[in-house]
Amino acid sequence: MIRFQAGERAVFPVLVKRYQGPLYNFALRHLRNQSLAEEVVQDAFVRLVRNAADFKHEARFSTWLYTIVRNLCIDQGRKQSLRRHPSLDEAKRGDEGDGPTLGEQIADSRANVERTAVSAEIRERLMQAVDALPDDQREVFLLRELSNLPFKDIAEIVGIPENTVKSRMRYALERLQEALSEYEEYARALR
Amino acid sequence: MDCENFEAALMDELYGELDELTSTASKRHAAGCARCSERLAGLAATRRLATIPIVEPPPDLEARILRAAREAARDGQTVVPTRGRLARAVSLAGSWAMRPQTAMAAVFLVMVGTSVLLLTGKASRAPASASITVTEQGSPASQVAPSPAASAAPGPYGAPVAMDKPVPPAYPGALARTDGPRDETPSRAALPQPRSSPAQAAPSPLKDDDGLATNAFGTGTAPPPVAAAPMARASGGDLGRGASASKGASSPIAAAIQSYQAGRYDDATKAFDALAPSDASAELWAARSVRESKGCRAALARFDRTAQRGASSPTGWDALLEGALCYRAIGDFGNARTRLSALLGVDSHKDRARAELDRLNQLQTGQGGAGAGGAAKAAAPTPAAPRASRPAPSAADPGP
Repeated sequence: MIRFQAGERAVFPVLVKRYQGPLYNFALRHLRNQSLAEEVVQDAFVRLVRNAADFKHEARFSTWLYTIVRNLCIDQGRKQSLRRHPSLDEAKRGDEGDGPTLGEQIADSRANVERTAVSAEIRERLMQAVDALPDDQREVFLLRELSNLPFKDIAEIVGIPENTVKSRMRYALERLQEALSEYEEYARALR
Repeated sequence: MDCENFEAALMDELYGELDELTSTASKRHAAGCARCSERLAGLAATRRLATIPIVEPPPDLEARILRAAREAARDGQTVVPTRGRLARAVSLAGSWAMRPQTAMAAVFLVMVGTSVLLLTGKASRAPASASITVTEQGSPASQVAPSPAASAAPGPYGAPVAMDKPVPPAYPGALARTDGPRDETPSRAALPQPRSSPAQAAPSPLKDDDGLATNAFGTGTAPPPVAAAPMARASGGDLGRGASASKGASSPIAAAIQSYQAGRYDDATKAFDALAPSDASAELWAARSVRESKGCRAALARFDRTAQRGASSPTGWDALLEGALCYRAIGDFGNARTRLSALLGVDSHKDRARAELDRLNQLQTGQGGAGAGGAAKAAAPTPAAPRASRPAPSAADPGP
C-alpha cells in the first residue's frame, strides 16, 4: 500500500488479488447476496484508489480496507431493507425453483474443501445459525472466523471497544453452540 | 486464576491471543475446574463446527475491479477538489498534532525556549564584565552616572572644571536655575527644581546672571562641583550619589544634604556644623546654608573662616570665591575684589575669578550707587519672585 500511495500503480492488481477473496466472502456472508457482495468489493477498491492518500498507516491496511467494506455493506443492507433481494435460501434465478439454493451452491461448489470437513448437513445448520445471529454479533463472528482478524482489529473496524467485541463473539459462539448442540459430540471427536 | 478471570480470558484463550504466561495460568485453572474446562471445550468444539466455507469470488470480479479502479483514477486525476485537498491536509496535520509525542515535543521546546530566554535575558542585563554601580539609597544608576555631556559642560566657573570624579547634578535646583527666579539673593524656590537634560543642566552662568543668583554656587541652592568633590570624598563616595540618595538619609552627611535640598536650611546648618570639625567642606556647606537662610551678610564670617581653614585647597578656594560674591552682593566691593584677586593665582578658579572681577568693575563703574542699593537689598534674604515679575536685567548687568 505504501508503494501504491507513492504512485506505483502497478501494485494495485497485487492488492486486488490478495484481498478480493476475503473481502468478497465477508461481504457475501454479511449481505447474503452474491451480486451485492461483488458490487461492494468493487466499490471498496474504487474507494481505495480515490482515497489512498487518506490512509495514514496508523492502522493496518487490511483493517482500513475491511472498514470500507463493512461500511459499504451497512449501506447496502439499508438499501436492501427497502428492496427485495433473493436470499441465500432462495432458489437461483432460472432454476425454476428446483435447483440448489444459493447457500447450497456456495457451500458445495465453491467451498474450500480443506476447511469444510464437516458434513453438508452441519454446514446448512451452521449457515442458518449464522444468519440467525444478530447483526452486531454476526459481523464480529464473520470478521473473526472468516477473515481471521484479531479482536483488536475488529474493534477498530467496528468502532467499539475490544472487550465489547469479545463479548459479542462469546454471545455469538454460545448461540451457535446451542444451535449446533446435537453435533457437539461429533465436533469434539474431530479434535 | 479464578473462574471470573478465566471467563474474562476465555475468548482470548479460545483464539490463541493470550500471552504465554496467562495462557498457562488459564489452562492450569481449566485443568482443575470442571465447569471452566467444560465451557472451554464446548466453545472450542463449536468453533470447529462453525468453520465457514470459503467462497471463491467470480473470475471476472478482478477484471471488473481493475477496470473500475482505472476509471476512478482517471477521474481523480482530472478533478482534484481544493476543499478536499484542504480537508485532507487539515486532517493529516491534526492527526500529527494530536499525537502524544507531538505534545511532548512541544512542551519540551517551550521549556527549552523559556530557559534560553531567561538565561540570555540575565546575561544581557548583567554581563560579567560590566561594572555595577550601587547607590546608597537605591536610586537608579542612570540618575547617578554622569553623562558625557554633563562632564563636558562648563562648570560654574565658566570653564570646564577639572574634577577627580564626574560631578553629577546633585542639586537640581541649581541646574534648573537658568529659568528660575533671578534674584540677587539666594532663593529657596530654586531648590526643588527638577533636573533637565545635561545640556540644560550646565548653562553658562556668565550669560545669564547677575551674580550670586545664577552661578551654580552663588545661588546657594546648588553646590559648586569643586566643592562637591570634597564633599563626595568626605562622605566616602560620590557627592551626587549621596545627594541623590539623600532621600534615604542613611548617613549624617546625607541627612544634612537632604535638609539642604528640602530648604530646611536651619536644620542643614546644624547638621553641617556638627560635621564641620572633621570636614572643611561641611563647614562650607554650613556657610551656604546660612547664606540661604539668613542672607549673605550672616554668612560672610563663615565663608571667611572656611577659606582660612581650607587655604590652598579646593574647599578653601570655593569658600573664598563664594565669600567674595557675598561681599559684592552686600556692596563691599573692596573685600570682594581682594578675595577675587587672590583667586587669580589658582588655576581652577582664575577664570571665574577674572570674570567676577570684570563684573565687579562694571558694577562699580556703570551703576555706582545702584549697585550699592542692590547690595543692600541682597543683604537680607528675600522670597523668590517669579521671573516675569522681576525687572529684566539691564544692559549694565550683562554678566561676566
